[in-house]
Amino acid sequence: MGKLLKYELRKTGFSKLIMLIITMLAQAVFMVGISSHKEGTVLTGALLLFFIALGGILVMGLQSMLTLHRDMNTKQGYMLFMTPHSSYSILGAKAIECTVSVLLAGVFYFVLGIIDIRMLFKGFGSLEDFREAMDFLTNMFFGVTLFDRSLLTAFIFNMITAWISTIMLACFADIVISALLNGRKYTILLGIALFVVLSVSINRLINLVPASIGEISQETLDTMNYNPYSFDLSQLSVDVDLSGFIRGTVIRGCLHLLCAAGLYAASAWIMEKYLSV
Amino acid sequence: MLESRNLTKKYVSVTAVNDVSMTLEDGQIYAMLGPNGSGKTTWMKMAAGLVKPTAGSVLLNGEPINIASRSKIAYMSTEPYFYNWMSAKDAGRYYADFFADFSFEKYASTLKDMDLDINGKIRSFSSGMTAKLKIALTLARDAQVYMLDEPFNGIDLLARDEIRTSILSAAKNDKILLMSSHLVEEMEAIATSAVFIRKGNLIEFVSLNDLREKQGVSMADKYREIFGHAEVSA
Repeated sequence: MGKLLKYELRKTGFSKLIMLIITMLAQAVFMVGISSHKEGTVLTGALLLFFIALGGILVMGLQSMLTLHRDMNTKQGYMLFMTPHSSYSILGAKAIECTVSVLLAGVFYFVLGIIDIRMLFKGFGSLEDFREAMDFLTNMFFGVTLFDRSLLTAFIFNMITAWISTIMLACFADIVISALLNGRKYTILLGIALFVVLSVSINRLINLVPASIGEISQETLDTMNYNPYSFDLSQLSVDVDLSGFIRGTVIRGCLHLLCAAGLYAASAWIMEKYLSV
Repeated sequence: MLESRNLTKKYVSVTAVNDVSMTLEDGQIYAMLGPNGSGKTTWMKMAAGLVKPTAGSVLLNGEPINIASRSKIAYMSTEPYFYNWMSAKDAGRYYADFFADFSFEKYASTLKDMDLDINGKIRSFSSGMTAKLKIALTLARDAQVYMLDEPFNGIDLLARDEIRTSILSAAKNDKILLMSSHLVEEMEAIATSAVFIRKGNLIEFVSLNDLREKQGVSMADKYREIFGHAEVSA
């Protein structure tokens, strides 16, 4: 598995390098703005970094999917499928590469964001402003402020597991289409269509689990204008009991993991039994 | 021993291989012959585990081919199959990483004999250079079965001699060597047996000694006899 992983990382290495170079260029713009105290340049750099971070994570996921598609539908696949490794190992290496790449990219951009925000407030404000900005950002991205670490952890767990299940779903859709229509034109479009249909269906099923499970105090419900399937935590105060939401979020995360495991097993089985390269 | 039992591969409207049963013995060099689209490549890919059969099975030493048997079968596809970023050295390292029977030293020495730059990017190689590289990679393995699909494709006369020498050096008593080619005369100088395939069907499986001694014809004559009419009418 280690060697498979090494080559999976190598296959996507070039696009990662390009993303890193683009990020560094945007970072340079941001730093020039900070050092020259030009707010316009700082804003340009910050916006560039923000969109590159979002786009970069998406591009990494797409690149991994494209590599899988190429391995199943072009002659390059011989390199992979003639090695003495089962489809379970081959797919496992691909799933790990994609997950790890995206997680590392997420951590990289998050750390870079924190460093940049610190620099920004050192140059243009105080550290108190920085803390407020962090609360604002975590609230914007995760719907929760930093004061509740358990809920934040549950949200991050849910995000990661949802991402893993999305990766496995994309693999599954591509493998099914490639096994059925190997080497034919437009298989990638059919794969995307199958992915969208399955993705909507699975998310609807998982969202049947209420966002909050267990007893919720009336105060919480009043504060949130409670809707069991969607909620806005930005209105919450420190005193509100969040254990029900943590439970609901963790259960949804576990369902995503279960779903990913099922899709992995089904995808590898289809590859083993039916996929011709 | 590599055995094909009632092996069939059907695509939507085409039967690429139809109920082919044959046994390839150790110590033999087989020439698989037939016109374009006769099913040679599909048969080899099924034996290599790359293409899943519609029916029938392939057995290596009596066991259906599986993950473990891939480490005993060295298959060389006629199409280039390397990753774009690879140099000849990267390709060697890749094989060394995945095949315990691969000798990097033998590979490097073969490349040197063939006058190929080990640091050269494969995507910049000509078709002849790529063909030589594929041969060097495949034959640097100490596999039980070698399957070479069109090893002389796009190769000039002098390079063909080098490749023929490499192939013959890989042929041993415990090895099975199977090659497909359109260059019948070239194959006749190497092979010990011939497998004639047409439109997915096994037409004849014959030892070259029998062909010469009992039927009094060469492999090329036999090829003309079997396919001549079909190719003319096609």
